[in-house]
Amino acid sequence: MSEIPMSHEDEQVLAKLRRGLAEGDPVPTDVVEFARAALGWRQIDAELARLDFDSIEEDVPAGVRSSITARMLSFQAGRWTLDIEYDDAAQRLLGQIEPETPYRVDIHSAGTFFTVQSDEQGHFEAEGILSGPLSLVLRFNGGPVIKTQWVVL
Amino acid sequence: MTAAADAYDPGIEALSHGELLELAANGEQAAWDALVDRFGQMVWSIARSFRLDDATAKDVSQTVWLRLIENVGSIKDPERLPGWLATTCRREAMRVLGVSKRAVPTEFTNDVADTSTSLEQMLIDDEESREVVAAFAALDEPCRRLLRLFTVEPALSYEEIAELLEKPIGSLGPTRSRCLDKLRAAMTRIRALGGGSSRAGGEH
Repeated sequence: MSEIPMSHEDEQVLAKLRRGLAEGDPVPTDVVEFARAALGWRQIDAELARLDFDSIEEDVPAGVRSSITARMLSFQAGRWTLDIEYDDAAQRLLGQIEPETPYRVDIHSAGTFFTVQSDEQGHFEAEGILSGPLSLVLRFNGGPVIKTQWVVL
Repeated sequence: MTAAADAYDPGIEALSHGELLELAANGEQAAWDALVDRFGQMVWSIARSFRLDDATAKDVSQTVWLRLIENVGSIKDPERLPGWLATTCRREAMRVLGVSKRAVPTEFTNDVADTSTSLEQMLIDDEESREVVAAFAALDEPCRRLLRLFTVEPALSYEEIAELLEKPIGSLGPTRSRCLDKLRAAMTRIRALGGGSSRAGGEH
C-alpha cells in the first residue's frame, strides 16, 4: 500500500543481503522435517483436547517464579480433563486424567516419538522429554482417542 | 481422488495458497510440503528477526507450523496466509520472550554485534554474499531486525513489517535507508580489512 520507493543502490544492496542470508542462514532442516511431519499428526482421528490452563501464563510475583520448577498445564475434551506437569530440569513429564481410566499415551515432541502406558488410576510418567513442542495422543481401551493441541514446553 | 493424483504433478507449486490449504486439509502431503517450501524461509526469517537464541527460534518456527496445521481447514482468507503466518510468528515469539528463561536478555544483545545467531559465513561460497552477511552481523540490533524483515520472501507488506517491529509505518523508509548506509559502510570496512574472506575462511 504505502510502499516507499527505494534508490537503485539501496535495492541492489538489499538484494545482495537477501541472497547472503538465504545462503548463510537457511531454514534448519530439522525445522522443515518437523513442519512436514505435522500433517501426519493432523491425520490422527481424535477429539482435540484444548489447553485451558497453563501455569506459565499466570502472573507470578517476580521473586516467586524462580522457586517454581514444574510447569502445570490442563487440557479439556468433553468430559475428560488431562493435567500434566513438566519439570524441565529433570526432563520429566507426569500426567493424570479425570475421570480415572487407564490409557496408552503417544508422546509427540520435536525430537522424539514414543508411547507409555498409564496405570489403572490414569496416571503416567515419562522421562527424557526435552523442551520444545509437545502433543499427547491418548488411546483408551477400545474407546475414544484424544489428542491435545500443541504446546511448547 | 483426482485431487490426490493431481497433487503429485510438478505443477503443484503453481497452485494458490488457498488451493494448497484445501488439499492439505484433506490430508494431501504434497500440498502441505509445498506450503512448507513456499513459506519455510519466511517463517524462519521472521522468527530470526526477534531476539531469540537458535533453539528458541526453532521452537517458534515449529510452533507456527503447528498452529497452521491446527487451523489448516479454517483459514478465512487464504490469500492473506503470509500475514497470518507473520502474525502467528510474532505472537509466539512474544510469548517466549515474555515467559521463557531461554530468551536472550535484551541488555546483552542491544547494540552489539550478532553473537546469538550463528550466521554460517563459513558455508557461504559466494564471496560477495559472505561479505554482506559479515557486515550484517556487525550491525546494531534494530537495523538487523528491520533489514531482516525487508529481505523476507515472499515480501511482507509495510503494514506487516510495521506491526512486527511495533514502529510507525512512516518511519520504515527512512530507517531502512539509514540501515542500508550502515550496511554499506560495514561492507567497505570489511573489504578494507580483507574481511569477508578472512573472517569466513578461518585463520585458525
